[in-house]
Amino acid sequence: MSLTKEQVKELSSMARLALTEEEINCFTVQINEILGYLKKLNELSIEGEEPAPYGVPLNNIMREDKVQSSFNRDSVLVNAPQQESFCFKVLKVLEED
Amino acid sequence: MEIVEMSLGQLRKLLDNKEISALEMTKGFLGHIAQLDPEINAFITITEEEALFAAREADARIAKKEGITPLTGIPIAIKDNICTKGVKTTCGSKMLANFIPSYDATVVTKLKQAGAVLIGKTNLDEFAMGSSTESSYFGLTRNPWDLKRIPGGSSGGSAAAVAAGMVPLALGSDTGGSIRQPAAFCGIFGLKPTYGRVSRYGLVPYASSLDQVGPMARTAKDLAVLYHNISGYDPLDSTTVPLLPEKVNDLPQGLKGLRFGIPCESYDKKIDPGIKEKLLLVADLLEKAGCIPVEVSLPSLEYAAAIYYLIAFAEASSNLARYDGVRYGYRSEEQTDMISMFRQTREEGFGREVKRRILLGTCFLTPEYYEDYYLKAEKGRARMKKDFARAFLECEFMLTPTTTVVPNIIREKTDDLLSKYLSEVCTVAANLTGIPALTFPCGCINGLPVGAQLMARAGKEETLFRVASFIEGELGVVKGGIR
Repeated sequence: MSLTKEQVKELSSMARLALTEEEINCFTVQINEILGYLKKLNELSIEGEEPAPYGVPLNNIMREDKVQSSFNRDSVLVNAPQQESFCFKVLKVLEED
Repeated sequence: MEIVEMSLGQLRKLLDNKEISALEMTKGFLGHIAQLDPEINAFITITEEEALFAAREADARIAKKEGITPLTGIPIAIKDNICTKGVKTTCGSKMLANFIPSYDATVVTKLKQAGAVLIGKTNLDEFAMGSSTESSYFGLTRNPWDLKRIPGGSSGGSAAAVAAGMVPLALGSDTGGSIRQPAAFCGIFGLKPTYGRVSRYGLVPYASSLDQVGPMARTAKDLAVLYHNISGYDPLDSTTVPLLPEKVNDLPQGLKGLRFGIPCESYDKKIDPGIKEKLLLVADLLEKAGCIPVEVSLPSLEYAAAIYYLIAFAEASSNLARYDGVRYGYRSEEQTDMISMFRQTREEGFGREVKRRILLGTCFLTPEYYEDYYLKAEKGRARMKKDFARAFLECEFMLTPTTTVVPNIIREKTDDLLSKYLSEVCTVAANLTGIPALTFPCGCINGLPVGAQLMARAGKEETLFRVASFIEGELGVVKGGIR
């Protein structure tokens, strides 16, 4: 199963990457090369295995529901690309009818 | 001997005997950095002001003989994907070039509490995605052993800084070998701890099920001390492991009766014959010390790189979705609506390797590829854990190469993507199975350092330190990187 340029464009749209034409061309070749290599995994017997999301056994860890101090607003907003009245500023999200 | 060559123990003695103040020591290391770093480029940010302040505080502790720890007054470098409050944390990316965290990573908090002097933030492959430190937005880092060569990566800045004597200790992060491979390439020690042993709180995530913060140092003992200081349970990390850290201040001697596994799969023809020779020498030394060599088999090891890239890229594509230009980081000026703002921001803010991995990870998680690729990798990982568990019934630790080659010339390998990806074949298994792995220097080939890797069962860092410390005593300290 190899990917076409169109499919890579679709992926880039899902991944919210604009990508130039040059990048699409280059990535299409490279992604197919990597996918080809990964077919190797078909040789490995995984009969009866359950997917392992972590290397070590982990349990849910709960912490006490305590009131704690939160981040100082200014120290967070200092990183905002654009801000107004102590809010993050972005382009209009909802269109007016 | 100059301070830049000294071990932690030697520096500690100077400070405690008041032969030098922490302030003088910090100034000494800052001077060394100022002299070397224009060429090596190990640092993205040097926090001179903060370091001098911390050094004065350390001096006050030492004067009062209160709260002195092994790290009080000792300069340490931090990889620039570990958050430092009020100090830029860039991940080597244009995306975060001006990002100033509002909190410290738990490891940073622990170091500050111990009175360590944080001297700067080190260079890395963008978002820790790479093994050469060539893909940083802030320029590449050079190997202090040979400036024409790569230091390895992604913790290449930390490795180069420690190797060159710019700091005695540094923190790195390791997702598939990012501490161990550069440590090997720069002739120093590096540890990827057991998953969950060191808090990931404040480590900018790449692949969360694999990422670990770990120590880098020029001696095994220094490595152990730094590890001891940063490890432990942390309620702020949802994957923390509730185990008490072992005490490693005094490493016990004697290895008699320990069985060491030599996985036949990691000694195949792809290894540089010179590296193989060094490993056999180490195996000989271990045998002479009373260790028992055992041949073990890890059939799934051959698939480790494939499993690793599937899992790492899939997790990366999800983790890096947060960079959208809304709350922090870079935002493109070219925007007509929200979606185009996201797309253009990510196009301009990420470098090529990061985009490639996001695309691949997105692909693995689509319905067409999920079962045949991603799920297979997760099952392969389960198989691999069984292989390792079986092997560890036969032995207490394993000895393998850290890398199959010596560091290459800068920009020599940028075109050959697959061979670059496969260069991590020796190290990724420890991340996938969560076990600790340590690299130590075991000699040189044509003036370039070679590392060997030790792996043990989860939670058995102690064994690794003991073995590494013994080999270090036998082979002597490798100092070819000090400049």
